[in-house]
Amino acid sequence: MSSTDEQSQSSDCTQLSITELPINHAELTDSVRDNACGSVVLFLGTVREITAGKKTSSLEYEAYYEMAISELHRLVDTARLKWPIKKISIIHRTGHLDLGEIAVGIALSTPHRKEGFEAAQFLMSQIKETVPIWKKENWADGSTDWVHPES
Amino acid sequence: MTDSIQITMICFAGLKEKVGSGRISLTIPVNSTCTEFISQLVASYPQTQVYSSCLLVARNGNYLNETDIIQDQDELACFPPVSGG
Repeated sequence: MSSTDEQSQSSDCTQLSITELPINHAELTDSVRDNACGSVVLFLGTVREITAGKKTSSLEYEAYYEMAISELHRLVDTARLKWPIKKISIIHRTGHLDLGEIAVGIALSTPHRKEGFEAAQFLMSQIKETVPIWKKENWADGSTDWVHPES
Repeated sequence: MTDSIQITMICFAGLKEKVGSGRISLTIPVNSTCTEFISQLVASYPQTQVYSSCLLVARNGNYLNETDIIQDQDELACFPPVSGG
């Protein structure tokens, strides 16, 4: 835990990071396991080959690192008010990602599964709305497009 | 003439490509709202017109509302709608 590292912030129960390195989903899962909990929910967002009939060859992700981490903290604080989350880890990739690679991972532990599924669903929906990270499609035909949902 | 202030702004993703830089300076009238700031940006960089109705502005890492006033010592960021995940 380092206060000078802008791309990652951690406490014992919350780990948030943005990384250019491949995401290790087993480590992510193990980081939230806890004997007080009967449930670990893991969500992975992966690079899909076909979007609306168009073929993707790879994606590029860009982040406003400092704000992305602070937004993630804000979302986790909100989720903790609604659901009894014991431990939570969220990690998002930046840079170049090939098909099938993990772009985002959320792992969290809760006493029971229902609240775990709900919390993960809430967090992923919110991440897509407010956390300043963007993806660019590198299409198989050689063209590129920034994905900007409301533009 | 109205007093004006110079703002330095960081930008990301499609907006960064349109303006050709991740950091630009913009002169705006004092007490400009967020909406007025975006209008000034589009006037100075017409190629950003495509994003004019959807740009988001953040000050020191917090989203601004349309009527918030832009001040000159802030770290200001501007970007199109996010698309992580």
